[in-house]
Amino acid sequence: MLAVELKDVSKSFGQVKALEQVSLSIQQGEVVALLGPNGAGKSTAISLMLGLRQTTSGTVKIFGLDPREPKSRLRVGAMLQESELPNHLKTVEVLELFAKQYSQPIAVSQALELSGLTKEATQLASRLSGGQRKRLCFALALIGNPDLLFLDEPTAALDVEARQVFWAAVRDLVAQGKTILLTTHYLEEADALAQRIVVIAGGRVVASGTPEQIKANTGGKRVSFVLESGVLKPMAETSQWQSEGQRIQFLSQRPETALQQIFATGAQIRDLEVVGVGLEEAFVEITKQAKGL
Amino acid sequence: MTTTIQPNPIAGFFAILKSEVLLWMRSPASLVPTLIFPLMFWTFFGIPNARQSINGFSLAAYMLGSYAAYSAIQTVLFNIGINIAFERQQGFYRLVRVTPMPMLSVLLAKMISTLILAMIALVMLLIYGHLTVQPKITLIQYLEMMFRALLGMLPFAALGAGIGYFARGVQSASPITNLIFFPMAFGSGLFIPLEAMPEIVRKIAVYLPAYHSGMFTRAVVDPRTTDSWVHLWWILGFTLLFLLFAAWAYKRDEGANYR
Repeated sequence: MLAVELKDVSKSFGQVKALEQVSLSIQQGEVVALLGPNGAGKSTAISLMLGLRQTTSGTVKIFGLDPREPKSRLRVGAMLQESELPNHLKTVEVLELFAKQYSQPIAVSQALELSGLTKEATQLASRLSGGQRKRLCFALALIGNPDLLFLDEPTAALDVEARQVFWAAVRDLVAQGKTILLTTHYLEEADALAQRIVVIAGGRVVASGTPEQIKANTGGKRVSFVLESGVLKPMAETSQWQSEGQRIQFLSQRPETALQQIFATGAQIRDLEVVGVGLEEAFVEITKQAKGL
Repeated sequence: MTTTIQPNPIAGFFAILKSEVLLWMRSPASLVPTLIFPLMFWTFFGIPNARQSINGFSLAAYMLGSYAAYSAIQTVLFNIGINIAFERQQGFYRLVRVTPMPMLSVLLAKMISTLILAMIALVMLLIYGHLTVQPKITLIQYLEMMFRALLGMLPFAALGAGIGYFARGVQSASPITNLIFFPMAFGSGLFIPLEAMPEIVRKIAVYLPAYHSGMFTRAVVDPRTTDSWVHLWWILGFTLLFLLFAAWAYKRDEGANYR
């Protein structure tokens, strides 16, 4: 049985189409990253899979069940982007409260350990720092010992070190065979954790594949220089070749190779710049490709 | 397919109830209106009136009955309504909704924890009232008075939930509740006997739920009230009406945030 199945799912908020005809299947044990810029529809997709919202059209199934059925939630854990903890409870009490709602929860002490909150166990949730609260949310997602985990931008607002610790924790879960769907707008994060990346932009799935395949399409460098002498034309290693007077610009996955080939023609260049393409820029690119432009 | 074992619903419910009780136990500041206001109002308005008598009938027991009804109503209306509005605004219910925790259990636990709080407030008021004006009320009558005051708060538990789901947030739930509560409490004769009010107020009073809560609670000690059951019917009728309002407000909130 599929862990997650979305079939032709569309979701509109009034006139705004947040998702359009999205289909997505996730096998049990798979780790999938939903990657996309802000406003792409990632959180909307998650809220549909969690049964927080209803589709406008199309169907969502979690282990074959409608996610709006409370029964489906016994096997699901979620770390939401916007949710608040009961501030009047201590860390350990928050975990106990939610543990009691599941049939086979993990031990509260284990959840504290997994989230690195053992020392903060008796601290009120309201006294926790931002990072600690985020970790408590992570512990809450795990407390029910779920088979399927939704992590909505889990590392937003975390510093580099905390992010690394979090990634290690997620890798442990992967090793336990959990199915994980995470959203992120960092390609780096999707690459570090996921076996498959689904890129969404403007509410549509615009690309899907292994991290290597996605990186080949979205990564790369923008190369620009002024051509002093010689004649150059677009080559295999380049795309989006533009020349404006003497200035030449292109994108390349392997700028080193492209430049070697350019120098091999005997061309003289100056003002060489090689810069990484931002992810936002890459999404624009990949969306254009998807539309066949 | 693996069969999913259902969690223990009783253990689940008691965990929620514990959280709800801790909510007010750990925020003493929020208990001031619930526990202290009744004592304060009793001191300023209750005691002076309780020392009066109308046609040889001492108002002491009568007034204490009114304040018991007022205390119970205030406890549920303010605690349930504002609390729900706060938790909605804060986003706690989003968290609840992604777990198997039933929303109805959360609401029920909130009601029960508020009932416990209302009983504490009532005991405090009745002891203080007894010490200050020494009304002729037996212990059995006090217990019956408490029980009746708790029944009299039913419509307001439903109304509180309705306001909690209807209001945009705490900033609007709090004034809405105040705006409804204080004029209604005065207009129902809970602070000052209706006999001391203008004719028009007395005419409107019979259509106010708090009037019936007051009458029903006071019936224990007011020999003039011969048939108190009619007030119970009014109370149950208002409860039903406010439950419909609460259900509508809940659906409306759900439609806005979860559809």
